[in-house]
Amino acid sequence: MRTDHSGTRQSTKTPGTGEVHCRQGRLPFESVAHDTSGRRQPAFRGEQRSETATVAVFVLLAIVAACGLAASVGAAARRTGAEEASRSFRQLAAVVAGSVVAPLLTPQLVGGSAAAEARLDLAVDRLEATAPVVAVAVRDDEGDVVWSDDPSATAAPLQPAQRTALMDRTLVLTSPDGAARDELSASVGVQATGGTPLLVEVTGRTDDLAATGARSAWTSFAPLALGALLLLQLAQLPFLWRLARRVRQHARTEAALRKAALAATGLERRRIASEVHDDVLPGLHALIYELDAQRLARVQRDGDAALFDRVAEGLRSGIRRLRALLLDLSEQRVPEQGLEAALARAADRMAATGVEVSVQAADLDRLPGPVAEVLYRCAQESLRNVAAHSGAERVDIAVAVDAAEATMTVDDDGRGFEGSRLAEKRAAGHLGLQALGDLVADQGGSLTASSSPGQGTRIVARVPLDDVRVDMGVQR
Amino acid sequence: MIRVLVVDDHEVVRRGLAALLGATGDLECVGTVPDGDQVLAEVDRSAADVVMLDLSMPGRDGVSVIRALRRAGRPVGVLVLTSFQEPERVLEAMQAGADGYLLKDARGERILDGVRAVAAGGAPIDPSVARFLLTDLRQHAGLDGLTDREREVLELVRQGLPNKSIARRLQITERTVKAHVTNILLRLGVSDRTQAALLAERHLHPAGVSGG
Repeated sequence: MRTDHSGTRQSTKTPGTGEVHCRQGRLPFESVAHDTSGRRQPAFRGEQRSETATVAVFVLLAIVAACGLAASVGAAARRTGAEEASRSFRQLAAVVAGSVVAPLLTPQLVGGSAAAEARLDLAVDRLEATAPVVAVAVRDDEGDVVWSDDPSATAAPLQPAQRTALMDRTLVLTSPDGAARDELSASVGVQATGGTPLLVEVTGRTDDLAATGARSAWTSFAPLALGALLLLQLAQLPFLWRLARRVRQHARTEAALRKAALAATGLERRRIASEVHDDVLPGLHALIYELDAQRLARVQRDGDAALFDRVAEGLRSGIRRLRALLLDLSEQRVPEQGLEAALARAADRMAATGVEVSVQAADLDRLPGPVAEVLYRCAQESLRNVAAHSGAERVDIAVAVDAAEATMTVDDDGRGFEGSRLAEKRAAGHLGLQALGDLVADQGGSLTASSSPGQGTRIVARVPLDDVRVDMGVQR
Repeated sequence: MIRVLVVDDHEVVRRGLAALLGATGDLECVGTVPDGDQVLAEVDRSAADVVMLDLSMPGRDGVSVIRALRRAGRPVGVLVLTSFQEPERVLEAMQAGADGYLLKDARGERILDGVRAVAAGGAPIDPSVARFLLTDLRQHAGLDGLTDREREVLELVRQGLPNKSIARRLQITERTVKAHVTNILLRLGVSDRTQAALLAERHLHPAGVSGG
């Protein structure tokens, strides 16, 4: 190639206009360069939620958690209060039965003396005026009423627990029939002064006992706890906000970087393509023309013609190979033209070599760019393998997309290979499929190749769609 | 002597082609032009019989040069010599009025014979390129041969509708649709509906504008 060549070219092409005439016609560099800036480029799809939304969700969750906590703490406090109340009621009932009622249970009283009953009436009245006691009754081991401050009280058989309390002179908590919810009853076994075992039934108001304990615990605890929680949350808000923003920025930067990387490789590809197209190929063509001219001029004169012919033919074949490479290099990025169109083009190119290729795919427009790119690379590499090794006459490419993943199947009717041969090839450094597998794995997908001699080859690539939604219902 | 004007944006190529022409006794390079803008004036100045024209050039590109030459009514033969092999570019150039279309990879003799053929009123076309023309011709004939109903079906296939939807849309049975599609594929010489859809897109909706 001549040394003045590139200089000449500079004068005929305006530097920086950035148009290359390649296979696809004009490929505007400008738009690509713009892409690489990555500024204000949204993520591929599925834009992250805003900081406000993130923080709002967090605050909402925290409030729900705080309410739940408050409720359970409240319930626990209530329960503790109730236990506390029943404990104090037991003490009260024991005191009432043992110290107030029992000393007045004289044989006279048991015998029905009015004076003795009056003494007990007085004592119980005084008790009910000062303590949260609403009713007191005394029964014998038959369940008959010995004495009661309620004149309507009637005989009733003793419950087993009451009988035990009577015999052992212990205390048992009972719920008398028809008792109000906020009342507690206890039956206490005592010994009358005459030695007769009797049962003293004491009923008290629990709202005075239980509620005071529980409510005071709850009301004094709740504001403090909830207030602390709220304060903690308020204190967290700025950090939370900053964190949310940073996470979002990260995601954005990453998306931009990924896009830029893709664009950069595309840009580099095109740069190489344009260099080959604008510098290398014309120079080689020119050489061939010169050689052909020399050959034609000398063809009658001497034997050099054959040499010229061979050299020119070698150059031509080199050019053809370079041009094939150029096609790959200048290939438009898949996301720009869509997977369907890219596959159709690949199929057309393959068809030109005499291999029939059918493509079954629909509604791929909504596949995220990276997924489309990977699937296309799989198809490209598979077709390359088919052309190079299989001797196939027909290739079927099918792409199916569901909500979770995209699956591409490439079937050929070629000679196939044994599974172990593939491992051999891999070991020998033929890394086409391996590299392809890595590429698919990078996207979180999987690649499988299955074949046996004479049975053709099937390549299946699955790529998950992740969080990126594919809107299946929408037609072009 | 056949007078030939060489148009290419690469100097080495212009020089090589001039040398190639110079190696013959019947062809004469009467000038070389580096870009499309100067072609018309240079044709007039040199009274060329044949223009060897590259398609991709800075400024005015090959196709619009051909159009300009034809519009100006110059009786010059145009032999496109390019590396473009895409059906669209070939069709575009031929429709603009090129007389021949050869690829730069061709042997010297082939290129020179092409120039002679154009000068003699022939149309030398590279076989791989001729294939596109033939396919295009057949597809046009195939499209022209479709019945109105088949055209309707093809249009819906182009829109990406499955047979069931097409049947509902046209109020015919799915089996009838299937028969129509089979017939359409046969007429257009394609193997599946995706290809039929692409073809319809290309011929019936060029550049997205309907009606063509």
